[in-house]
Amino acid sequence: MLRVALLVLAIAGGTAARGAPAVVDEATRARYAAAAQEERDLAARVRDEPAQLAGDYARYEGFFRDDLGHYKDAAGAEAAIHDQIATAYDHSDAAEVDRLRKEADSAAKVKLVWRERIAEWRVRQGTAAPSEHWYRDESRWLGAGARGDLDAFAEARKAAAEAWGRVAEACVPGRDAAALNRLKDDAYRADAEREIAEMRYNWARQREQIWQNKKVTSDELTRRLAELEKLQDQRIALRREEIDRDRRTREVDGQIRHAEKSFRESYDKAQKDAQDRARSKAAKR
Amino acid sequence: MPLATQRIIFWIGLLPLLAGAARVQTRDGRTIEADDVAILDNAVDVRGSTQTRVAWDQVTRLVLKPASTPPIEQASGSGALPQGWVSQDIGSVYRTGSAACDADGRFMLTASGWGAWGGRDSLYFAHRMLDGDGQIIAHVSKLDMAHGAVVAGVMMRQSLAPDALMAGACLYPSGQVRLSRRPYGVAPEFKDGDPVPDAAAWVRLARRGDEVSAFQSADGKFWQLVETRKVPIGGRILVGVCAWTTGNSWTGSARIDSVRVVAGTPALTWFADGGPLREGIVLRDGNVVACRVLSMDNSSVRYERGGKELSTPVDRVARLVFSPVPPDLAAPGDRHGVLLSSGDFIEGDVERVARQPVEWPREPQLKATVRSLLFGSRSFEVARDVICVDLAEVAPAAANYEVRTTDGSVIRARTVVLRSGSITVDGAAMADVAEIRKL
Repeated sequence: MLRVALLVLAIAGGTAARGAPAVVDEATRARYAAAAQEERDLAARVRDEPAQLAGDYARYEGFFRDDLGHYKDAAGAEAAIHDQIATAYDHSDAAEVDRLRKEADSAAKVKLVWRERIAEWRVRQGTAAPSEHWYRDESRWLGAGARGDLDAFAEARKAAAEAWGRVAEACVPGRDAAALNRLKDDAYRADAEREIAEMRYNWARQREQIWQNKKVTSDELTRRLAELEKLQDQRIALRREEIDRDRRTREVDGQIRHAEKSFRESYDKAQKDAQDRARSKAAKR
Repeated sequence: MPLATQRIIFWIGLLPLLAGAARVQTRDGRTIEADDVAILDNAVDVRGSTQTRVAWDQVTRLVLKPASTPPIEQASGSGALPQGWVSQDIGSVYRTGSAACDADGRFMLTASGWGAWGGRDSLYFAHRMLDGDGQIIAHVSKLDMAHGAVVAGVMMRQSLAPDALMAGACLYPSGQVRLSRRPYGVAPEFKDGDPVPDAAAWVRLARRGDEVSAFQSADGKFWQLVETRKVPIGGRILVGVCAWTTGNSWTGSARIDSVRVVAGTPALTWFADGGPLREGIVLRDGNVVACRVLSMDNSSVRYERGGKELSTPVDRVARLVFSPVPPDLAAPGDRHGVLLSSGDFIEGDVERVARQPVEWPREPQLKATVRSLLFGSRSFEVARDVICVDLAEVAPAAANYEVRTTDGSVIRARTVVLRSGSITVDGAAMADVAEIRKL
């Protein structure tokens, strides 16, 4: 990409009249031909991206089947621009290359949103989602005393998957960043509840594996079980603290990103003002 | 009368009762339909829009209690559901579902949801009420999986609550039919295959007390038992068709047709036009005894009828019936062996019908053992696999009348006498007469 960008700068700088095909020497023509080929290869790679992603996350295909069409369309649109850039190189039209490059950047941003929707949020949704097959497998050798914990874990997985699904559906070009962040926060919270439900389920399963015959009881056993459950509650409390800290971290990270953006905008404005002042000073002279 | 002709007449006699109203056929070829038929002295009064008296010697066939096969559930054609049906989402679903039905009885369900498993269901359910035992039969003709996997089938529920007791017989994208149920218990292996294009199947869910059985069929005629489990759904329940997607993140649709809800205690098999005999013995002389067969060995058949245990020599028996027989196999043929609910006929000598061990932890069950040239000696569990056992052909005894009772028994009689309000067959008064044919 860097090579291509440098080449674009070189063309732009070397073109006397913007928009008109340049008269170029043989060496430049050869460089343009190479750049055109590179652009066509890039178009092919961009077109292949959706299929590659679908292959990488095939196990979650059910969750993003409908999204894949959008991703393909966006990738196709970007690839078409790369093909046009290649044609512009063929015609040694540097200005057209420059214009199309900006279009390609915009198209790539749209494509990346669809990619993010699938690779980030749909995959999280698919990972969290329980299946009937999973439930049956878990149930197979499960002690009756852990059934409620399995059901709670399944419900927590469903809730987390649904929350990630809502994030995915809000992740569209031109998205409302604030709304998306709120949905993400809900999803992180639901996912944390899923983790806690999993901890509870694993403990219940282990307890049932040890205490198979409920007719076997003793004071010592009751005391040890109470002790174990107290520690497990402590562990969950610790996890909740971590979850809260993670949430605060995300909040501050978001504020940092926002502050950085404001800082950058302030700098750009200050720079423009300085340039304007310099220009007006020069005009007065 | 030649034996072959007698056999044909016997076979016709075993076909199901004529559906519709009570009726009288006369010697001059008339058929008089009626709302009610009153038995008089040597005559019948046919009561409908008009009242006609027919002398008994002019009657060739008298149908008092016609068969009533429940019709396919159909809508009026406006796209709404059939009368008495309603539909709604159950549990938390991605998108609200919908159900419609056409005048040909084709239900179209749109649904999302996680399915019927775990602590809470999420799915779409179109349903009506059913009191007591009964069954629902349907053909899942299409799973539209353009957006993702879809599951559809038939279901019984205690209520619309997501955690209600329930059972379902549903077709999965892999083509497998499974029994969903709550309470959940030990489940059979779950086979997750690739989706089968154009997956379709007949599904049947039968409730008998607190036992629920799921069946599947390729033709809607012969059924394979999927699983039987205890699901204590009590009293009045909701019965209908259901659909869901597996990930609650897309919507899918399913087409389900030929939906029938059949009230009454279900048997292993069900045929749309099956005969009234559910269980019994077909004797070689053409008489049929509705009863429960207890065992058979090389000398006798033991059976229970009216709370009494009885027996009959095995050489008098042509067929043992354990479940309704398909109409085209209503009479025993010249083959001997076991007709299975899958439609397979295992030809061979049936050695015995007796309680035999089954897999742990179930109690021993009634099994039919057949020795065939092809397979050697094999035993089939009667309650799960066997429609009937054929031992010999029928050679109908000479008779003037064939009298059928509502439980499916057939008596070949020499005399039938009508007295005001009662029917006497070969000198014995008979209640529950469904049909009398003069031979």
